[in-house]
Amino acid sequence: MAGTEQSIDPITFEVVRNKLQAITEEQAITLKSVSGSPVVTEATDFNNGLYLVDGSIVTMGPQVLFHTGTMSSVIRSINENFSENPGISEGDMFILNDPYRGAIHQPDVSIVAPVFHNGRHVAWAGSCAHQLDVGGMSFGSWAIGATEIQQEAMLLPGIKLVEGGVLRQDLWQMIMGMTRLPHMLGLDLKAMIAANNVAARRLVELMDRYGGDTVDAIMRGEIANSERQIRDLLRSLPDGVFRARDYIEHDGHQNVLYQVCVTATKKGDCLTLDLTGTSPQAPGFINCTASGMRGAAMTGLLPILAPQIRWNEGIMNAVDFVAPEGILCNASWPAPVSSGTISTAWIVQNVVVAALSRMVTCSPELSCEGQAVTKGHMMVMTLAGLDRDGAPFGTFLLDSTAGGGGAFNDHDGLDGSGDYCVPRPAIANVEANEANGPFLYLYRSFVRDTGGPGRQRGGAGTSLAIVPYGTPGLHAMMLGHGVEVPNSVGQFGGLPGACGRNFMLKDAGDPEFVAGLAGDLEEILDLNVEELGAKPGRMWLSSRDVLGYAFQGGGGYGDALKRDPEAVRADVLNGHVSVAAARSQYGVALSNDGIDHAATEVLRGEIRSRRLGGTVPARAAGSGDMRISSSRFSCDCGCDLGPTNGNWKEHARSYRVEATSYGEHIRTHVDLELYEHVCTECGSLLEAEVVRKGDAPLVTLMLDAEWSGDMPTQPYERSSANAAA
Amino acid sequence: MYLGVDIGGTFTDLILLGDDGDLITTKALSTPGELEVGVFNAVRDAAARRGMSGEELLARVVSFGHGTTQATNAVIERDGARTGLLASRGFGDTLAIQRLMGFTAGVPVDRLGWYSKRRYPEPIVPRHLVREVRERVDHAGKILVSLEEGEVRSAVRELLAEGVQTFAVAFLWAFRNPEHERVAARIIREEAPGAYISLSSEVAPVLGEYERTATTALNSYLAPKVVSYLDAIEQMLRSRGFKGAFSILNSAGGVMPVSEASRRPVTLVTSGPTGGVMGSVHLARKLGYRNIITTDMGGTSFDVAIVVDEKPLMSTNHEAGGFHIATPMIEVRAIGAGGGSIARVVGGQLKVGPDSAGARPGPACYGRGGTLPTVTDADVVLGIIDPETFLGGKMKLDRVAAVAAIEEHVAHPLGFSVEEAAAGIRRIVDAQMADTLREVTIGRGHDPRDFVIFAYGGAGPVHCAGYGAELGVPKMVVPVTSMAHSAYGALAADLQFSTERAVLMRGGGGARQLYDGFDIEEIGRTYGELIDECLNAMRRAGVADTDVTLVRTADLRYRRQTNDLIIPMADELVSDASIADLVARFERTYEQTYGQGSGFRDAGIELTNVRVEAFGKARRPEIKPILPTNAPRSTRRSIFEPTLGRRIDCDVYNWHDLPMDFVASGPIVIEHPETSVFVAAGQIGRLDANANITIERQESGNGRN
Repeated sequence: MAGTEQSIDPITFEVVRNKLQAITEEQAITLKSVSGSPVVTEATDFNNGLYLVDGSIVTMGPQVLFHTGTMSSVIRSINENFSENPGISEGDMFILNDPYRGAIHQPDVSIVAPVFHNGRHVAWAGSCAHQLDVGGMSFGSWAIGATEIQQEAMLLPGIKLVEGGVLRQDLWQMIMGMTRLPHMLGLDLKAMIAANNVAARRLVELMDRYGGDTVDAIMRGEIANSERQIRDLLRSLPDGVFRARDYIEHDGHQNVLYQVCVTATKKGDCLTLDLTGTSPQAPGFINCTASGMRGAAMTGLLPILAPQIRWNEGIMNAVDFVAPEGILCNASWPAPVSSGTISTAWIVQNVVVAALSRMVTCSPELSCEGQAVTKGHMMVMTLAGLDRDGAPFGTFLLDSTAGGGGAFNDHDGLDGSGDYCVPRPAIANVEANEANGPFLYLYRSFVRDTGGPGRQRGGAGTSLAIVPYGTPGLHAMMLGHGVEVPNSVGQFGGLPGACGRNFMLKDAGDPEFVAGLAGDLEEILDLNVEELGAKPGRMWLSSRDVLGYAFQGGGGYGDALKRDPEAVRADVLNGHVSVAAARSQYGVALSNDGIDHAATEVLRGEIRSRRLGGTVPARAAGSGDMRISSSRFSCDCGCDLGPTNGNWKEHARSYRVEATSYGEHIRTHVDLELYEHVCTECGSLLEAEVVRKGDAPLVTLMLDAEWSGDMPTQPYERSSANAAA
Repeated sequence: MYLGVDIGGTFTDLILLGDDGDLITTKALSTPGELEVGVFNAVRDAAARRGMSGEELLARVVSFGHGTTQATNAVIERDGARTGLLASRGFGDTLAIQRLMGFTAGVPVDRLGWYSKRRYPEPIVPRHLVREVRERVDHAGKILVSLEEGEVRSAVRELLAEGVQTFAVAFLWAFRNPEHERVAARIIREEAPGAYISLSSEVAPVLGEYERTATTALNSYLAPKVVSYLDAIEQMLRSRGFKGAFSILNSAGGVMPVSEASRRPVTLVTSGPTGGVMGSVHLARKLGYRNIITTDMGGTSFDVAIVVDEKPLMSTNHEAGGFHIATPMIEVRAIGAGGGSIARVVGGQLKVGPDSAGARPGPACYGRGGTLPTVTDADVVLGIIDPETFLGGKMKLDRVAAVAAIEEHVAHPLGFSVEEAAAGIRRIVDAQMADTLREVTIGRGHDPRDFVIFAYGGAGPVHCAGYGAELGVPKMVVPVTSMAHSAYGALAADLQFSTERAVLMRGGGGARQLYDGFDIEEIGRTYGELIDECLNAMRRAGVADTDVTLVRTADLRYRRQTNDLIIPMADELVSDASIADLVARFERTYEQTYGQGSGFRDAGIELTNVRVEAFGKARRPEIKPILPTNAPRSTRRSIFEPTLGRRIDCDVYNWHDLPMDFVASGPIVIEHPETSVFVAAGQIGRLDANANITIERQESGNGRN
């Protein structure tokens, strides 16, 4: 591989490489243009790319990252199963949505096309997009209550939908017969076919111009480049073990708590992600298969480790996975998996973000990429019934992506960040949704005190409430998680962002009254709403019933007592932090004229003493978080926390705290507890941890003995986004 | 006589068109803080060339067209007014949430995955200057919750106490029923007489509360700065004897009088790049090119627009300073590729851009402290740009520094000669620009080979031979006005006013006619009202109804799709037949844009907006260049021809010396005080009857190959 790569001059290499990326972009433009689904056009829940004959990723688009590597496993599965019969020929395209054969969950349908040049199979082009409905027991193919995959949705193992350039009507009509929304699915499948045609045509043109072998060598060279870069980067990081753990409640049958645990072991230029310790698979639809786990783990990894490396197979080559069969994130057939993406895969993404953020924080060059968890849950709401004109109506409300972003070492999380797995998110206008469906919003706004407190604050989440309008009522379906689990955990003493929430207000009144009922979450909660829990499932909404939900905020970074009081004041002014939380979480006393600095000092001192069980801190707190130097962990105040190959938590003071002490938006499942680990000498919060009752705190950060590099200190940098006007 | 002026960050460009069609262009340094001074300096220079004083010239000018980056700069530098926003209760965060698109606005695709770099833009209205008032209108315009005047009044008083200078009002569904916004405006006027007020139902009456709110807020945010600036320029002109019409180029490619511009300063945010597009449109019309791609390659960016059938492609979705605005504008796509783009070797691979050395420190050859090699350094090393005659010799370039930069950062690491490295930099940047042009044309369903490229900006004429050939277009044109092309656009543009209304009608689905469900009477009535608005605006600008051309368009889409297409109405009368024709043309355009078979009639269609654009014809003399008749003189210079990959002696001409029938085979360089035109080997350069330079493939002459 290296030999052919070197024979191509770097100018041609760069020109062709840019053209490969341009092909991928053109593929995305085509897919988006033809698709009529808001999931594709607004939520960009799709991806596309070019692949080597063996399925290795050459290029991919910046859309939903869960699809990273999915089509690669789809192609590998087709190569393995169907090369001989029915065979892979020019003009063919294969359709697959089987999660046990490479898809993430059934609604993510892939169509892949072999590309031929001068009669030779030279590559694959692929497109994948989330479909609004692929059949099964529930609208939207979210099979709440399923016990086996056969109940959940249509299952396409990679059938040859297009044969020799001709769309097979028998298969087409079979697929259209299994969905509740044939128009939507039809449009999207045509969009994917069109996108693959564009990519294949352009790639052949490129090969005609530069030669098939040259383009092939450049594709392989691109992969080799990325692999070299990610390995260089890994080599620059300390060898060690970095762990994270997160939980998910309710398996679709019962409100049972499951956990996902990752151990990231970095040695030399290799990274191993070991999911051992994760709960056994669930009897309900929250599981994910190995392809979902890999896609989610890479989603967590890419923006932290590879923001400057081109995303392709080379990066995957540097990462090994260990995951026992039959666990929540590597389910065995026929375990149901239809909500795997928004359930277990989501949690896999969270733990990988948390563990790798701990890893990069140990490097001066990369510490700026470390972050608290962004909106660690997902909520689905589908609405179906009769439209205002009496025609059938069905939609999947995508506003729930508007949670808060995790905070970084040197700046606050984004207030309204979108999901971590979506690099370019967007939600529809309220007016667009009201125009397209028979319902009315009461409000759609930020919720105060939802961003996890920290030296850098987590981003605020939003909430909304709707009521059916112009229709007798609607069938609603709601499911998700993170209502009783604070998934958006903080880093290095930052607190978790708010939990999500689902609620209903029955028989609220006539439209004229309901429309003016509440302007935000705080106001509607005052009306004694009914809390619905994580997975209320199917519900009937009359035109007098209000249904609402709120999304998690982002985790904070660093001890909130180290936040610049000016930044807290600006947060209060802009409505993201209440005066009460400024006091209780940040220790900042505000008066009418601004900050009362003397009172703030007193407050912060009191909180530190309380953390130390009533004793006055022996040292003044530093301005930064935990540090590493001379193979020892220490608090920024100077207090030693033991050797870097040991468990620093043994040197800290650890105790349990009530969820209510973090404010009204943090709730814990009956099997969960919150722990704080603080410096024994200054009372700084070093880690806030969510733990299953009876389990020991996790050893989150441990370096190999021979590592002697220093972890940078984190001086407070006030981000411009905080600046009050 | 006619004047056009474009004020850029560094230079103020002026173009003077005499009644006899002769053309003068001048360039003066811009004078930040008091830009009118720079304008008059440029006027005086032009006047001197005609043996007059500045005042004498101004007295004879009948029309003064002006393109301005003032609004753009105010957005970028965030020095607009302290603006207060009134919003519907429950939706006051709309402007801050930005549909979650704020932190990706303007971010190139390859940077989207770099999460630690994501930031929301600095707000144009901070949250504490937003007040929610209880009111609610539904999608059909029905009032569900009435506005209470007392609540509005106290909100306005609170905002005034916060020191708010201007107001914006954007209520949900106000474009359907503007009553509440109008009441709010009355109360603001009572509480704050003379304060600038923008209503979303007037500034951007379209569906989509975020974009409508952002457009409205930005309008009030920009108003004081833009209005006072336009007043200052006009006053200066008037005080020096100018009695003609003073008009401002807007982002839709038309000019409007100061009075209209002051009502909608937000429509000026892309006035700058629009000038070049409109200049090209007017020249192309004269030259008979119906489809063109305009390319403006400057120091840091490469701006592209496409013109189909003499009309620039418009869009209603633009970004300005991280916010999204909803008024129709010419679609200008910019990528970070320019003369200042930096070349570097990373992991054995040569990369060019997107980071730029800008004007300071600038390319290494500028001698201003830049040490990194740029595209301009490559052009100097190759000999395409002559270090002695750059900018008419006003700025001597340092070839030695260019060679050193490329040697150190590119040639040595790759094991290339300096010239091979320079040719490689050029090839990469030209290919990148061609990829962008391809994406822009293909993305809108057009074949780039059906287009003629217009190239201007400092580096456009130097590079169009490269990116044009790579794209495979039959012809590139470097316009005679290229050194003041935006100013020419401001001079030549028609008076323009547009107004639109959201309608949202659904048609078709199932076996019905696609337009079944459209209320044809209401469409007719709405067009009637919009036409009245346009004619009134034209009358205010002194244009008689008979001199006005009206263009009716409608935005259509297949149901549930998010991309509207703007489709012109062919007939003046709205009838079943004309609507059937509109729908048929929508379907054709859709398939042309997105591919055969992509249309999906079964889903039904939606009519979302109707729009009327009025044009008051600008009557301008034809450009009549005075051309020498003697044979052109050339010198010879050794260049490293990048397409041949070797050194060759080539002829170097002076543009001003070229006779009308000039034809020469490349490689040649044609120099001009402000730019150099490069014609590569295998291409032919000509001068056309209007003194523009055209570049074609040697073997061409019979269209595409």
